[in-house]
Amino acid sequence: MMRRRIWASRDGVPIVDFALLVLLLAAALYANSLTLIGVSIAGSTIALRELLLVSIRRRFDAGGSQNYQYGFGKILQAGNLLIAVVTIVTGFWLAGRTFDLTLTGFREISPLRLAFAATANALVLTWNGFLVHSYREPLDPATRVLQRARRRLFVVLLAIQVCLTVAVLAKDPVIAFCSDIFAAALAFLFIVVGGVKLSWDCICDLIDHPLDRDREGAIVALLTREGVKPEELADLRTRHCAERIFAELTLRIREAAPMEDACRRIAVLRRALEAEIEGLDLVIKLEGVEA
Amino acid sequence: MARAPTPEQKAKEAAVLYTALADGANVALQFAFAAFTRSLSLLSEAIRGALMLAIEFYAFFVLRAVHRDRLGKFRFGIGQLEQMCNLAIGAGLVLSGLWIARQVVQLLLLDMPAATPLGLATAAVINSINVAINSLGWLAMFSASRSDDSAIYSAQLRARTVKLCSCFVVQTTMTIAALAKDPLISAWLDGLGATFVGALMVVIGSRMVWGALPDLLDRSVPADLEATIETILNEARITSADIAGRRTRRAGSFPHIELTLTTAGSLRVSDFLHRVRGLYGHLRRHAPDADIAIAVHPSVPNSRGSKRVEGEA
Repeated sequence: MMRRRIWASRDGVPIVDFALLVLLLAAALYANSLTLIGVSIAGSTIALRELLLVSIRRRFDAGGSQNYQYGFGKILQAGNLLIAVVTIVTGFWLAGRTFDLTLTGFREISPLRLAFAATANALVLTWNGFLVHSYREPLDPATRVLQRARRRLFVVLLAIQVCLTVAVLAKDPVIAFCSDIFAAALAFLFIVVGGVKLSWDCICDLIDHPLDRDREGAIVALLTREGVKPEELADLRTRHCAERIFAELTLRIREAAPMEDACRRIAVLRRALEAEIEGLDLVIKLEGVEA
Repeated sequence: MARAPTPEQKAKEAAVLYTALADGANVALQFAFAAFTRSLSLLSEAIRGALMLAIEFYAFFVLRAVHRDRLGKFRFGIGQLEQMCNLAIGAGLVLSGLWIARQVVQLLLLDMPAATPLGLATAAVINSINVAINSLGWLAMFSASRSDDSAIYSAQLRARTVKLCSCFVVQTTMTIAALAKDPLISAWLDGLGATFVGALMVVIGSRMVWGALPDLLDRSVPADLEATIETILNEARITSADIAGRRTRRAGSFPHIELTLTTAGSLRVSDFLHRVRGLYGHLRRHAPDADIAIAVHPSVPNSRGSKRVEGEA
């Protein structure tokens, strides 16, 4: 029962992630493979993000949220930003090493070591494939973001696995070397592009960036559908953090109108918006109209 | 919609821009001569100067954007944007400080080639220009400062003071190092100057990061502001039964206060809005820069006629 609960909450995922990463790093050092170092960096990014999410969530569940009344989204994104920056830096280090090796010449990787590297990569690939398959429909939005990143990692791991397998089967040291360089470049691209995208998302969330026009337009369309006329919509302020959307809606209502009617209307509006937009944190303000 | 700045605003922008450009030229000169003379003190001073210059340019662009209403899309204010820049610059200062520390250790312990006496003398001359520019800039800003200056101006004056302080220390150590004929003493004095600037960078950078983080993480406002809000609520005769929700968060100079009032006791919308306006006025007087939102929490009558409160989101 306990085991099932840990599994359902993904609390155990970072533990397996880190165990596999240690194995992968050992294999990388043994095989002297830049590709596996790249895969370790990419894998550690997701493992760290999982760990961050699990630890913050536990802290908040245990009641450590009195000072953070708007949820843990920003703490999560600040942690993710740090992880992204470190990932980009290590990604560039990997690129430098790969470039250096490409220029300075050939480095032999023995077939046995390469086979070991391919096996280690296959293990990590299987684990990620299992996670992608098991959590196809994760419950909460924060986990869904991680799941998307894991799906991308799975695709890259698959491409790297093809390169490594070809290198092992070819039994030619030059092909093995070229495959390692190519796969390392692939890993570098994945790390840096993913890191830059993650950093940008985190920065936008941390600086209270508003929703894009389409998403804000969708909220306005919903309001219109619920009977809010354009002249009644005094203002709409939005911002987002992780998968949570904060919206502050100001409605113009006749000052002479009974409060009870206004309340009923606001309650209906709130229910409709919250049912349509997942993770919505809605605040409704009133502005009076004389007539 | 962007608007044109007033002549007074343009004059302020010009003052900030010309000071920053003078600093920029100085930093470029410092970098060139630090590379030429291999003086660590000058290099560390140049890095610190470049990062401080980033703050100056940031302040300039924020000022320009504010004067032209270009940051309007940040509907919750620019407090978090301000803090993000402070965080980036602070982290940059800390990392540069640590990098200088590593260079000093290499110079003193690993026999890295030290600066020549001629190089140190040239570096001292270049730094003296820096001292002159900083002294004039600090004097001009200090004489223009008022007790009610904006946060951006105060931060700039603080940055300028730190700059002046570190310039004087570097000037002293560099001059002694240039005058000392012994290369070992020169190296140690150069290292001492670099250590001072490096330590200053780490301390200031850490403070900037530490100061920016709570705001960026949406931490609730400090206890004194919370107490002020409590007092205002009491003054406005808002009891805990009238409040359905109360949330606050920090955002640089613009804290966010969000109060959700129940509609109990309000027969018409005007009754509710009367309470809202009264409370808003009280809050605005005590926290003029705050982003205040007073929301409504509907109390809807149930089938038996008594009122129940809708569940919070």
